[in-house]
Amino acid sequence: MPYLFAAFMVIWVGLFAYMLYWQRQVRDLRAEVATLRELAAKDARQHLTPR
Amino acid sequence: MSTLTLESPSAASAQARTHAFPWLAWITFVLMALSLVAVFLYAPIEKTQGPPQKIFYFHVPLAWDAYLAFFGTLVGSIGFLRSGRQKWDVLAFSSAEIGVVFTTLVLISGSIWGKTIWGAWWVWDARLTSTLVMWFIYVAYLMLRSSMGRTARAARYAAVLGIVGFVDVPIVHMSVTWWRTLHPQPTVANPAGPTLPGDMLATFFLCLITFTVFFVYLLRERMAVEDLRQTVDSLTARALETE
Repeated sequence: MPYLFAAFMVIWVGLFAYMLYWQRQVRDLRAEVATLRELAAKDARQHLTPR
Repeated sequence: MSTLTLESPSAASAQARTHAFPWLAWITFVLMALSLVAVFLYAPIEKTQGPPQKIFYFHVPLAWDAYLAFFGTLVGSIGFLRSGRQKWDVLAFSSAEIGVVFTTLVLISGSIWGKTIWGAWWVWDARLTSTLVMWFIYVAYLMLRSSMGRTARAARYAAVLGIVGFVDVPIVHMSVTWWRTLHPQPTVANPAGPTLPGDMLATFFLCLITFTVFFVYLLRERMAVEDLRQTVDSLTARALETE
């Protein structure tokens, strides 16, 4: 029985770790998108400001 | 003097597609719960091996998913080399990553199962060895991608490896038939028909369907993430150009 639970534990921990890793990637990418959005807004403002 | 914009269709669609499949996640969750109930409460305990035989219900579907994933890499690689379109490369790369995760779990769960029935964590049996070779091939694929960066040349080289590497997948599958091995012979995909009793077979097919749906969910999500990353990379490059 301990081997059965060990195998199931490994499978579930492995799958959750992988999904967590990829969720972190999504979070980082969203942060990058937010930064780029800010840059885009700043860039647009500079173009609108009369020189 | 181009103005940076995030309202491009690719950026919008990539952002929308990340987590765009909650229904698929819910279906997977329900199926997983049903599978666990079936494995632990419905499927009988096998007389010879005892409870560890239940590892089979997750071990084999994981291997099936790994085959599917590497087939996805093959299709994506061929598509990319033929058309040069990035969506094929995204399919190939995402599938390879998921395939490596599943193969790792197959090797570990198989090793635990092996310890209970063979008394050893590892034997240099044809099935185990060919699976380990398959794992190395696709780990090399991922290392190639990470070492060469996100370039078209890296994608082309990886595509060639993705096609050549798939040669090992049928070898893994047929190894128990072609060579004398310790690994059990096929009990479901047996030419003479399944050798499992009905309740075990029903539990197995439920787990197989569950893991197939889970694979589709993972692949769609992973591809959406990769798509988003490529969009962010191109927008970053454009942002640097405008500076």
